[in-house]
Amino acid sequence: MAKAARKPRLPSLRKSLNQICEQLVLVDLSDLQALAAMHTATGELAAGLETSHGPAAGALREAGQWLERIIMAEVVPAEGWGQVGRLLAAAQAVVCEGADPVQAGLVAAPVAAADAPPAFAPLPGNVDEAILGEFLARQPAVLEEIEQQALALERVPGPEPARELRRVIHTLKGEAGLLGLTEVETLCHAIESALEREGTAVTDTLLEARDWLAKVWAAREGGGEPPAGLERLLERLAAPAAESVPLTADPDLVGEFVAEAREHLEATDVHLMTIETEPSDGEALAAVFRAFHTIKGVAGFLALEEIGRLAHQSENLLDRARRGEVTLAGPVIDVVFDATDAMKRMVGTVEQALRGQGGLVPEPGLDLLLERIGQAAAGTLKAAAEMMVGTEGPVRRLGEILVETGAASSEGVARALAAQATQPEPERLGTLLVREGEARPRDVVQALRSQRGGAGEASAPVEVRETIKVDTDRLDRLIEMVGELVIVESMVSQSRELRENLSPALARSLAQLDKITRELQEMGMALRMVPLRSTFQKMARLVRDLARKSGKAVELALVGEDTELDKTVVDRIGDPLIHMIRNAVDHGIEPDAQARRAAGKPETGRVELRAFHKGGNIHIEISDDGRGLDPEAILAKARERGLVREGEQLSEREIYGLIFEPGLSTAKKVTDVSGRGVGMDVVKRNIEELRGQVEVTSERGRGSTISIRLPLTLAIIDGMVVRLGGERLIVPTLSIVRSIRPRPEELSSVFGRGEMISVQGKLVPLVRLDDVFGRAGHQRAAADSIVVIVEDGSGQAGLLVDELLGQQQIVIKSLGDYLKGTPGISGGAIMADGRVGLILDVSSIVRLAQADGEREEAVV
Amino acid sequence: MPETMKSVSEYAGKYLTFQLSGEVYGLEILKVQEIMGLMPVTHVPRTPDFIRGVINLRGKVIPVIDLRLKFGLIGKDDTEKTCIIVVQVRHEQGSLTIGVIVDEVCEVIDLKGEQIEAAPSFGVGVNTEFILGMGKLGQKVLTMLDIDKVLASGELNLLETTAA
Repeated sequence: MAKAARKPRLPSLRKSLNQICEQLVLVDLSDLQALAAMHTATGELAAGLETSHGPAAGALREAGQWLERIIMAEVVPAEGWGQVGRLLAAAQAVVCEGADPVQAGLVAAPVAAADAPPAFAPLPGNVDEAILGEFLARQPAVLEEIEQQALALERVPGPEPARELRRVIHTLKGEAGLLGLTEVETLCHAIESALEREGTAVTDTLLEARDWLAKVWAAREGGGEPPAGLERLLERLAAPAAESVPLTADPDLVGEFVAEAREHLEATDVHLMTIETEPSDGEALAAVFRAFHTIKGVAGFLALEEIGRLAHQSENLLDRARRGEVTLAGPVIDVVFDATDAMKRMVGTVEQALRGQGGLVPEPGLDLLLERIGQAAAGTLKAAAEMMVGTEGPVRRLGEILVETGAASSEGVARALAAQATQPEPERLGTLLVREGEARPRDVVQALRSQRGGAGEASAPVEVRETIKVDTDRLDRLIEMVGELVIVESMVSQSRELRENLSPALARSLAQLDKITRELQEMGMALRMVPLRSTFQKMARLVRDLARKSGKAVELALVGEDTELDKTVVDRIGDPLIHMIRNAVDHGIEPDAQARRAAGKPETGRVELRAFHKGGNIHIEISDDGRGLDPEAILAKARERGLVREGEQLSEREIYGLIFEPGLSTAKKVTDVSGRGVGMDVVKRNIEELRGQVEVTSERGRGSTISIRLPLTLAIIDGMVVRLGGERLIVPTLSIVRSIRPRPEELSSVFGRGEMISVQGKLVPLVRLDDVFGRAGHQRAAADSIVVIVEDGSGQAGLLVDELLGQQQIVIKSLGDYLKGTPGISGGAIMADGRVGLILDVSSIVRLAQADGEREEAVV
Repeated sequence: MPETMKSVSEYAGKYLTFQLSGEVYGLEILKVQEIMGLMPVTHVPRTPDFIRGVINLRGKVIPVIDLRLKFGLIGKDDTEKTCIIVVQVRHEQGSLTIGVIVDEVCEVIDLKGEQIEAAPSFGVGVNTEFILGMGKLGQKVLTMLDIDKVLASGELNLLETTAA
């Protein structure tokens, strides 16, 4: 009825709504004026429609809010634009076409409170399986991002990572709303409110929420029951956190303070770095002191209590430093850096409050920091790192940065490190380098700055790389076609007909074609390469959880997460890594801090995960600074299990290798995370499946390192091409021990076990491939053949071949489903003449040979 | 039987015809990827006789089947006319590219519904399981092969059991 009363105005309202919708298509997102005009128009329309079309008016107002966010650059424009479009279209459907508001998805705009679950009807024709599927496919990446941001937030609390996390959650909320996933929407809303309220939220709850979401997605995909526990999560998220204080002082004055403080703090950074290299620079010290002093004064005046406290405490410390009672070096200067960083964050919060985005949020960890500053002033501070429990971000070492930027030679850094190790009270590396003339002070300061920048500030602008998600099948098809192109190209350019009629111009073109083809091939290979980053970062969460569970203080350092590996390898290296990290945290690191202190190590255990290129392979190393392996215990256990015979002498390396044997665990106590005697053998098998190798080194009491060597890609191996009769076969170089031309006296025939060759005193069975392959071949005498000694897990065997044709890189081709599982053959490879060569599967050949031998034995 | 007639006439369409031991066979043209002359084939050990081996099809390794041996016909030396027909066959997990060695490739013909009859239950030297129907071309009769069944049936499993 209200509609009838407003009839005269409604048509004009409809008209302007239609106009706005038209503008949606026409407007340029960077045209702020047009956006502002739209913003005004939606506001007016909403007011006009308030009584007749409440839900539509709500949608328009929300659209207005989105427009505002776009204008303020708070959201990704395209994303906000999508929301505006959705809301306007819905409003248009309701107002102009008379659609039902519930149907149009307007009734439960995401303003709904957590306690009133919105009955979100899916948009008509909007949510189908494909959209949901596409949404679900994106979720693993989103979960990963939530996890990373939550951990980042814990590491560096502050508004920046919180904002980033809120962005992710907000997007998810919007999408979940669109898809009618009410529960998810409710949860996201609660997280968002919690983040908004606190600027940060308890990491544990965030991680739990992430796990809950993971369960929801799994249930959606598998059609299972949605998980329980939402209420508990919501409750925990709703728990009131430290209260934020409204800004009371005069905004103008506060604005001035923010600008001034920023300036001071930036100058402070530079001065601190000067002090770092020149501890005697009184002027720099005075400047730092002045900065904190000024901030303290103004903060007190503006009733910014927390800032005042921090500034006061820092000022005390700096004052003592000024009077020479404390030296600004080592952990002490770290504290000042931390104070500066915290101050920057707090000033940032003030600025946000000034812009009306929430009140003053207490700086998390401030009390701890204040305490450390106090300790520093009193001269009782221990190394800063020891105070931190939990995971540590990728802090690059100063030496690495210097070598990388070419400011110092790696030998120089190594010399300085060696000198540092011998000093009773180690000096900082930078200082040493400068004194020894290995690097210029300016470079050291710059390196220090980049080091701090990498570890401390999340606010540094992050370069966003544009990516497109591509179906793997399509990608593989492309790579395959590039492979075909490469072969055809070489066939064409090497064809005799062409070579005979080669003009210089044609030769040039061919050379060009050759070059482009090779580049294309390299790029094709690179397409499958992905950085290890996300796999590594998952380990950060793992270490954190494990450390919590076991009550140990452990930090994880990641090095080289940008190292790229074949996607398949990256996907499959995760599980072995988890096993090894668990072992390192659970067994490697000492169970209590006393034991570590007694051993002269920092209380916080350190696990380092490194990845790097070396010699055409990728190396991944996991090292801990824990107890190290106990060779005697391993040996005793292995003897007990019958893995090593009594009296057999093993080198240390061989003993360590035993931990990869099944059923060997020396853990004194079985915990719920590891130590059940499964694990390391599985790790070894997994890595060997990826054609990698794994090795352990350890130093009693100092820790152990597990090194993994992996091929760059699964598609290429080093192979030895051998000739047997008219055939060429490829033996993977990795499994070849040696090749020998046997002398008659080395050969023998053992009754029932066939021919044997004696290699360094050991008898190795000879394998005739024709016999193994069950075909009649020429039977050349063993003495006229070449014996390729190969090795697999179970033993050695000597393959009889006619000739070694040479070693080359082999691109592995599958024989396809039709011939998959052919015994003795692991795949094919295209040889230089275009024919197919077969790659031998060494372990299955050794097995086949053994089986045949046993059969013969049985017959005899 | 009109129903059978109807189902058989569904197979109307273009067929590639080839000869094997004097008889003419037809392959649905949509299954054929390409025809190539015989090239050196790498034998794969421990596989059934009818698997001649593998070849390099522009960078892809594909298996090659000797259709004579597959059908239990007497093997014959390769001639100049011996060809490999590369076909795409359906398979439980997707499609496979397989080369088929035949004596000689003839032509592409268009078979209409009325030219097709159901496979006789006996009297041909080929298991009728592999046959879609019989095509009449004037005086001649050609066997329309169900290549999916020829290449993906029982024998594959046989291969897998040998492997195990």
